[in-house]
Amino acid sequence: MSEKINQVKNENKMKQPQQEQDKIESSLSKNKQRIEELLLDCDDIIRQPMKLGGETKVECLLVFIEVAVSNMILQDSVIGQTFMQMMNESPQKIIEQAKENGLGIADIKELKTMKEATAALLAGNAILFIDGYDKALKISSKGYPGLGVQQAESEKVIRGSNEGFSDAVKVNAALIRKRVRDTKVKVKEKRMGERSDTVVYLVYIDDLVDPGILSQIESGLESFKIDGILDSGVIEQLTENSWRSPFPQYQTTERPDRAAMAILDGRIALLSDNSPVCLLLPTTYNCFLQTTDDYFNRWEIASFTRLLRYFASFLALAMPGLYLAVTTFHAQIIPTNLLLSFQAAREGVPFPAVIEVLIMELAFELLREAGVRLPGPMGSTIGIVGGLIVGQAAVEANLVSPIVVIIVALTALCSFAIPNEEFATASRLIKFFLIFFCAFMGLYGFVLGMFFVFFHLAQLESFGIPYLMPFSAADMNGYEDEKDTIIRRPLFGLKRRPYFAKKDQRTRLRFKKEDKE
Amino acid sequence: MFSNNRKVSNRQITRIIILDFFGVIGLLLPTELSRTAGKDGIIAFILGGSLAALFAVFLSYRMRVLKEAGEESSISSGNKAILIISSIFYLIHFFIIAVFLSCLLTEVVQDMFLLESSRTAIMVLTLLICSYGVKKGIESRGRICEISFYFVMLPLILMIVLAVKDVNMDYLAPLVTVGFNRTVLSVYYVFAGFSSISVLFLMGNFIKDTKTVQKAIIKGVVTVTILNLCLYAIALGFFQEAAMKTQRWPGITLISVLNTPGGFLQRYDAFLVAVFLISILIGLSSCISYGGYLFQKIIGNNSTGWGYLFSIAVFFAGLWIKEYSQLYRMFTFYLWYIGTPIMVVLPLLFWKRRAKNA
Repeated sequence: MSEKINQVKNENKMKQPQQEQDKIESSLSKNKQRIEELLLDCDDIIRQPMKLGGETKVECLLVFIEVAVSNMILQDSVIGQTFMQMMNESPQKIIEQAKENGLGIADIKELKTMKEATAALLAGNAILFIDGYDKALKISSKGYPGLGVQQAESEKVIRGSNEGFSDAVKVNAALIRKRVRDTKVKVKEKRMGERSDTVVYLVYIDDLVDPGILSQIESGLESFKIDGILDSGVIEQLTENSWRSPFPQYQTTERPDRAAMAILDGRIALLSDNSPVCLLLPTTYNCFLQTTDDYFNRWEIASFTRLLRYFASFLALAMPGLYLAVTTFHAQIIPTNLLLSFQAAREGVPFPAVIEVLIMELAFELLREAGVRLPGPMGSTIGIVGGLIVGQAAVEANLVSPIVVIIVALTALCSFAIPNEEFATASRLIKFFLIFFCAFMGLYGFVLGMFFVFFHLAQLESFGIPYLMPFSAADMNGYEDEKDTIIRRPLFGLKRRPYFAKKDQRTRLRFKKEDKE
Repeated sequence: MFSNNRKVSNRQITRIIILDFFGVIGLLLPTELSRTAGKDGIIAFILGGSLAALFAVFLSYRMRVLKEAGEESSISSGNKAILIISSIFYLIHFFIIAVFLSCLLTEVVQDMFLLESSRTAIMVLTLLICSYGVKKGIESRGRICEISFYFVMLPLILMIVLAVKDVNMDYLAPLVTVGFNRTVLSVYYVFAGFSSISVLFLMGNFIKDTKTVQKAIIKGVVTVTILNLCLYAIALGFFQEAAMKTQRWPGITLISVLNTPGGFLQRYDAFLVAVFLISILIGLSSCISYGGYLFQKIIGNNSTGWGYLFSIAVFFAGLWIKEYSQLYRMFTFYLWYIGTPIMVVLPLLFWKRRAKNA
């Protein structure tokens, strides 16, 4: 007990000088140095030194997140008006006016500590430091990009933000920063593409990210020279290790909240200019089947939908193959009545079952491709027209049996239930591989094919993290990651960050009650 | 950085042991035990499994001692001649097991799944996939075992639960009916089924925590023993001793006659045989993995290509053997009279050598 009291006393003693240290100094150079320390590797935050005043100038520093603050030359903006008034005043007058809010602008507020200053900065305001003045001025501006930003098209959720990434990398970085307002959020800028000079941002939380992974991606980015990078997909393909694998080794997202969640887990978000697709690394199989609203809904619902998704991801690659294996090689498994109705449905179909399945699968892929390329409403129309008319016509013309149409449609439905497009595409490709195996070797072919896929997944890694984690190798994080897999434990049980985070920074949830104990 | 350390965790070790041994023992021993010990096969399983667990305790203790002494594995502690001779013994042992497993797998597949398919095609595909599985070493093998464990265990436990109600308890009693010699022989058969666990002798380098691995190894051996004991007892309670003696694979026959209440599908045997196949596939890939590793040790070249060479040799040997029953006789003879004694003696010899050195 006495030990605890001493510990609290020591902590209080330590807080005192820390608060002193946190105070804004009257020397601009000291403030500048402190700001540089706090905002190290934050390339999206502008530190603009300037001189204000009449003949004898006073040195100032304006700090702001680029896309969150209005253009300074605009006369109707608060920043514009502030600088207009200060431009011709003497240094003493500027400080006096700042002290007494003599500028008379309601959107300006005095800040006393660096903590307040960085909090205001990360909330989307501009912060002005004046040499000789021991406070900073918060100048409100338009703030973070708001709902004007486009909606994510490919990752719809029922609950949660509707914002999606846009084409502008700076806006995208600000959208992440808007959600995680911490000075430890770093935005490292890289310029890539000899001719395109594309801005690429690496966004991560400094004390959570594993330095090994960070240096791995940085050296990956520096390992090639290319004339132009027009989308993050180019970076993805040039930096992944297992290029033969159909499985993506980066997770893609168009949702800022997904990216924010990922960096809070200690992962890295890679943003490329002119691309609304953010790459998240490292990734695992499990990540591809999680959605943001899994964490916003109650655990029972989240677990149920995840279970469905896992089942769907299995069926998306296995269902046509299993159908072929069972109907062609092991018909004894099926109840007699069902078998007879299968046979009746197939009557008159001139092709073997495998050709039938392949025809329908390829027709479906064709419809999907056509639907994607056609503009908005036409795209969905082609899906319905293709599905109903072509499917119906093919059945009536005895080209395929109705049961195959059902199997292919269900498989398609399952692949759409996978929340990540790249991952769903990998499943669709492997489906053809399993169809081939099952057509020649039945259920044994299925077992062999699935084994091959498992072997491949077991060997696959994303930036050194086993792809099948936490289903395998979960011991590396004391089996904690298993709490957020097919079954998502209640939020109060998810106290630890996943394995991606730095080892000593894996606690993400603590209850005050526990602190007291 | 994170992985690629060529080490496996305790959970992975447990599951590797379970999957390596469950299928082979489950297919090989029940008929043999019913012929030798009948109902007393139950006792044989208990005693043989306990003996195997003791052997595993000894091996894991050895690993720990060697690691603490700064010697990562017994193999590397030996001088070159002993290293090569012992590696050759192990290589031959795993080669024979791999040939047997590939033929057993082909036989089961042809018997249950693909009556008219080419034996060569089945063997080629199986060995290709198993070789691919060991390409990245023990670490990825550990991962695959961790995942496959659920695919084997869940259907198996379901099957055991479903089968229990149909067991005729009269067929299981009385126990202790065969003589002492036959009981000892059947206990030895069970122990011999586990003899390849001597491979732990090679795995010191690959185990993450040799201090706590003992528990994991015992857990693996005990799980395999309990599962096979349950299957044996259920099969005995289903078919009776006399009928069991005539069956090739009582476990599989048991699956095919099982009644599932309210089941949609007519028969589940094809799905459940797949459970045995997964275990055999993993066992086969383990043999290829150890074969490749031993080749590396003998030749002194760390190329991953040795595993493929081992697979090719297994393939040709498998093709050369035309009759499974002939192979079965040869294999059981080897296992009972040559393989098991060598597997037990080798670690003991190294133990003595180490003691002398100390």
